[in-house]
Amino acid sequence: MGIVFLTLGLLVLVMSGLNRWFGPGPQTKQTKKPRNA
Amino acid sequence: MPDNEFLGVLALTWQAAVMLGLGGLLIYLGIAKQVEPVLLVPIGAGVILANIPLGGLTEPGGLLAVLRAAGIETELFPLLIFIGVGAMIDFGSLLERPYTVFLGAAAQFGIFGTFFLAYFLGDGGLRLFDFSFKDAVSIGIIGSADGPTSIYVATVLGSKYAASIVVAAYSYMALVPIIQPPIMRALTTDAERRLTMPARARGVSRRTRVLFPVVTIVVVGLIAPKATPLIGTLMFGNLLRESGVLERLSQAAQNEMTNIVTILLGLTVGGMMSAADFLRPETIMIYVMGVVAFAAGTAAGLVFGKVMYVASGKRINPLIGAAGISAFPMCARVVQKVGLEANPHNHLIMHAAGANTAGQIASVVAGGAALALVPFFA
Repeated sequence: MGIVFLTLGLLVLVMSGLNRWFGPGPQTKQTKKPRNA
Repeated sequence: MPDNEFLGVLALTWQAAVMLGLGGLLIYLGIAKQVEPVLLVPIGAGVILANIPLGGLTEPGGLLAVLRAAGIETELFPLLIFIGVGAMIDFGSLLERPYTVFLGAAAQFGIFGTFFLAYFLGDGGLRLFDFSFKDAVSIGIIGSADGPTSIYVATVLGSKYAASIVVAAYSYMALVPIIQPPIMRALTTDAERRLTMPARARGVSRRTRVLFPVVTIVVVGLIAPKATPLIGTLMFGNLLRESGVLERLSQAAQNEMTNIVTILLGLTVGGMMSAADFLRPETIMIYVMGVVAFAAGTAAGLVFGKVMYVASGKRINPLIGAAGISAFPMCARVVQKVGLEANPHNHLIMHAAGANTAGQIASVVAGGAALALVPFFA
């Protein structure tokens, strides 16, 4: 169980860092309103 | 040539007749009751083919013997299936909610709990059943609720119960909607089950999605090298999906390849169920322990979910812990259903999917860890 928690803990740490670094996905990005809207 | 070479009925033993009946039952369950028909129908057909007296399919050179040597003993079939599974899984829910990974890890307790039980009943204690250390590890892996990992570990360890273990693993995956809800209701309060969680989460960039399979192979491979074949094929399949430029290959992995290998795997697993190997008390005990394994994994996930419920200041619904066992996507659906029963506005599916996909990775890591540890104890 220790190996499972260690591996997944490390994985989530790395992936959280990468996700923070690369920013959120396009679906949550604020899109600019068209000027004529 | 003996006279009865043309009359298999003269060579039919009662054990073979029971196996023919069992094959028919599996086909019936698959077609009439819709219980995992994709697997149970080929497995049932394999059982019948293997137990027809003088049929010769399991003898050297026979179809089932060739398939077993080529696909099971080389561990090829489960690994090819994993490429398809990886291409089917969207790890977005997990990446958006990283905390769910720990629920996937906690639910693997079922593996270790069942292993200890099997070993205690076998060579490690009471000696009531013919379970060696390697058999006990293979039986424990049923608790991962992960068919390909069960096949892989049982084959690598050379367990004599590989066929029973695989059939038990796949049978119980189909029974998740029956096994889990009573345990979920018993271990959580009504207030806990009613707790709603926000459906929306911080998004995940495409780069993160693409990097995830590669990083997972490296991280898991470096810590649990024995899991590399399983995690490598699973994540390669996911890379095909997330790359965005290999749609054709991703579809081929999800459909054509998985379908073909499933047919061959089902037939071969069924072909491994000969009367001599299958009709023993140990087989029945493996089925009993399969339920124990699923129940223990579910309970461990729920208990860890309750810990997170308290630690998060009552913001995490402990029900999602039950999705930590990797039967995908049945567990996540069951969590959603039980959550909705308690509160019609409670949509837990995305959170449960995170724990469910984490369970898929965790079960592979647990399988790799088990394979790595066996040489030290066996």
